[in-house]
Amino acid sequence: MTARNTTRTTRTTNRTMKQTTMHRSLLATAAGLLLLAACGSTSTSSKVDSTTTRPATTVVETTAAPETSAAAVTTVSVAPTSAAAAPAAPVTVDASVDQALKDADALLGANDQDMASASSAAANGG
Amino acid sequence: MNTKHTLMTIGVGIIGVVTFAGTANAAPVDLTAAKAKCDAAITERVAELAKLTTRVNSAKALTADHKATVGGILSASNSGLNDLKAKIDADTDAATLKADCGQITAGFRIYALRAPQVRLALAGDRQATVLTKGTTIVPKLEAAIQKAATNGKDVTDANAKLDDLKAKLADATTLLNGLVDNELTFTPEQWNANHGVLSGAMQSLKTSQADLKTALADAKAIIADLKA
Repeated sequence: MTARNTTRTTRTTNRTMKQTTMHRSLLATAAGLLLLAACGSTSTSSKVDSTTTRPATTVVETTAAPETSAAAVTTVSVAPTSAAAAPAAPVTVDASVDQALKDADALLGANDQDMASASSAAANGG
Repeated sequence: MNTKHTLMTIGVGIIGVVTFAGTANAAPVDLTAAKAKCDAAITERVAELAKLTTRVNSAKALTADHKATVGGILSASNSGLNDLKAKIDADTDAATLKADCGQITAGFRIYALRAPQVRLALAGDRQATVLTKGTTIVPKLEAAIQKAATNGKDVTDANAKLDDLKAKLADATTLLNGLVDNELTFTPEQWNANHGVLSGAMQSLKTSQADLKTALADAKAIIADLKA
């Protein structure tokens, strides 16, 4: 009886060990797949970045889609040809131009007075 | 105001002298009163010359050459009038006094010629300064337009305004070329022979003034367009 019981216990223990080993293998496989999936995702992003042509204009920057799909690459490439449809960035004119215009306005304003005086004086004689 | 006042004064003075001369045999001679009127007319003109001199000396836009030329004209007029006053004060007969008093206007033309000449010189040189400023801002506007075009902006209107601005500056340059130098050469004798000696200069200055105002408006429109 005792020997039979011992054999049965040993079989049960072996079965339990086999199940544990299987579980460990499954876990390892799953982890490996997750790691591969993660690597694959990173690899795809890198590929998009390296193949994306980034135009220098701000128009493209504001209309570009997230760079994580093939559709995004297409949008960025097309954007420059349709730039007229998007608002252009305002241009800052040299500040000295504004000052020059103010000075010129003042000079021409003074001229109006002198030219009117010259006309009337010449007409009056004396 | 001064011009009308002076004309009245001179008119009264000359009429007084003429009346006096014409009735020399019938009435007592009043040279003193006639001289006083002539002196007053000279004093008014000398005061006007002083005002003009002050303006010329403080004028920033007037070129050194024009300042020297105008200064010479005003100084010579001032000296001439003072010399004439001394002669008038020393006159002893009505005929001579009448002729000398008439020289206050005909010999100097302070109001009809000299004052307008100074004002036109000031206006012409101010316009030349505006012209320089306008020419200076053209490349800056061109650069701004180019930058806007690079950014994808439609710069058709801005370029049209810039073309007009350049054309107006070119026209003003032609009109102002030698204008002040020329108008400052006219003399009282030339004005006596032709009262319109300054008309051409005045008309050119009016046209160039309009050109420059349009050019400034173009520049402002370009800036507004680019900032929009």
